[in-house]
Amino acid sequence: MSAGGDSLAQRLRLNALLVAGGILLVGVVALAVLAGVLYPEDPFDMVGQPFRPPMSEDFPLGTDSLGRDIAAGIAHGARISLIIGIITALMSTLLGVLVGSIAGYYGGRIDTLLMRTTELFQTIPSFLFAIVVLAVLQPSIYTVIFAIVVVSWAPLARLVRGEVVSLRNREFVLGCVALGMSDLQIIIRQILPNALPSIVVAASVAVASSILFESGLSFLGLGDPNVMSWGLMIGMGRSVIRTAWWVAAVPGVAVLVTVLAINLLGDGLNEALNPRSASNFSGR
Amino acid sequence: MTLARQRWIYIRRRLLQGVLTVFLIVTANFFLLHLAPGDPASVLAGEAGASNPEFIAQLRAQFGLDRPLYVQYLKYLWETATFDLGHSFRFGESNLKLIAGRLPATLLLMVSAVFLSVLVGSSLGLIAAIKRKTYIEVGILLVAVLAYAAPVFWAGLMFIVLFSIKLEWLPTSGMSTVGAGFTGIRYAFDVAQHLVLPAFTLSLFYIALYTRLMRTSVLENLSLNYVVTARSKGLPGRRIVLGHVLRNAVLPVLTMAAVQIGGMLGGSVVVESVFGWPGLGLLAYESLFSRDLNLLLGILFFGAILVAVANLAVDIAYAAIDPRVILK
Repeated sequence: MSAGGDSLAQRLRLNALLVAGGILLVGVVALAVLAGVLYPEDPFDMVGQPFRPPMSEDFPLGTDSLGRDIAAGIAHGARISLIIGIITALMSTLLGVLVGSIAGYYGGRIDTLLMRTTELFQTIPSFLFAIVVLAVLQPSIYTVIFAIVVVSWAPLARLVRGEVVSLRNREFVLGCVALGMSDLQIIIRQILPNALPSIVVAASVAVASSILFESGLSFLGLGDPNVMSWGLMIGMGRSVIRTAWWVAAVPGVAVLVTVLAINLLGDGLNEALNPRSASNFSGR
Repeated sequence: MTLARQRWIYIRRRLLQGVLTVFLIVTANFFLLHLAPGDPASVLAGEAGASNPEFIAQLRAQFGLDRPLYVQYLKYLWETATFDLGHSFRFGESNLKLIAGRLPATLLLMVSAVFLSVLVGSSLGLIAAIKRKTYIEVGILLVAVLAYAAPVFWAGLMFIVLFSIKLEWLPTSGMSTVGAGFTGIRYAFDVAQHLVLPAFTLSLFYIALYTRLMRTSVLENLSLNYVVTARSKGLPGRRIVLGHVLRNAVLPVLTMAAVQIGGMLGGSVVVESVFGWPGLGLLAYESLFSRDLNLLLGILFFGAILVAVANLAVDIAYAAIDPRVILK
């Protein structure tokens, strides 16, 4: 991409990405926060006739096979999706930063050992592994979070390690070493702030992929059975797909919009923070 | 050191890594069973076999539950290593046979999905790059962004609604028409018809990914010196793109595709269960529902082997094609 002539167009595109993603995400977050106000009843409650199509009176998104309000399910499901997405992304990022910065900063044997371990975790068939973890332990929010974190911290650790290695021998870091700053202080106050842009972008991608991952698990019936979630709703709509396609379609659109919003924000952040990076993907 | 020797060292290291991953999975399986409430036999028997004391006794014997933990662990390792995966109470057959019987369907689905995603993804990416700043590019990128964010199983369900129920173009589920008794070419055609939707669904996410990757890659290559040289010697645009840029630009896509075989195995669990495609994923889904955990653990074990073998094959191919990777 040539500089100068393109910069205005690029900046506009960047703004469009951030604004579109931001608006969508604010909408989803507002829905999650206001779910209790908008739909105070339990989303598992039967509130109307079954199989009302979307746009029908009282039920803008229709009702499912048990007469539950789909709109209420969407609002309450937004909570669990966002909570799981954000918590797992935070935990994976923390773990990734911990492992990656130790490996990258100290190098040598520690680096080899930690990176070999990371590679092992990356070659685990992640979804199958998560299924087994949840089938053996009982599904609850905690076990779902545990299962997702176990299979998603590794790429973040590799990313952080790469960043730390490239910063490790820069003059400002060597200067701090010469001044006698402790390793911990150098990592936390000097190196990590410089690696922050890439970490933030990767963490946003992790939020989106955790939400997709969680929806897949609860679709298979491996989510917390007492919590209304989008994946669970799609799973329940599956058996009535011939007669009432919207029961499965609507919650899927909710997942799609949320993941899309986060991806757009992530792309926008990436272009804003790492303008020279060629690719927007940290890989999965 | 000679290149051949370095190549051998590299491949041996990756082989060891694959073995370690499988070992890690088996170990995790064992300790997960002990972490769960109740003893592993009652966990494994689950709701399905809880009422059957014979089955629980058989499981207790299989695990040697009266022995110390490390003996149990070694026994479990040994049994898994010798592919003694136990017996499925629910299916009334050995787990190994069940898994082996489902393997071909999964392989067919995955291989089709890999080909489809690389082919469609790199074509769309190439078109988006050469039609830069037109509506064609915008359209392709829009579709890619949507496909990248859609949950696979949901996309599969929507395809069923559209192509099978509304339009009645393609079958909704299974691998072949039940009771049709086709043979030869007709059977192959029948299976191919059943394969279209699952393979396309499984590859959707990867098509989106490779489209974007390919577009970036083509754009990068177009600004390199060899393209300028080709242009200055008067080569027509079409020949530059198809003869030179395409080959170089597709490399990152191939690398990515190789890395993602493991992820695709996970996707095939949901896709197979949506489409009733009789592979390992559907078997995992069925064993999940009947709480046949021992079978599920066996499937994970086989999945890990499958991924390790696929990775190794890719590594060997790479080491043969591009010696630079082994020197890293």
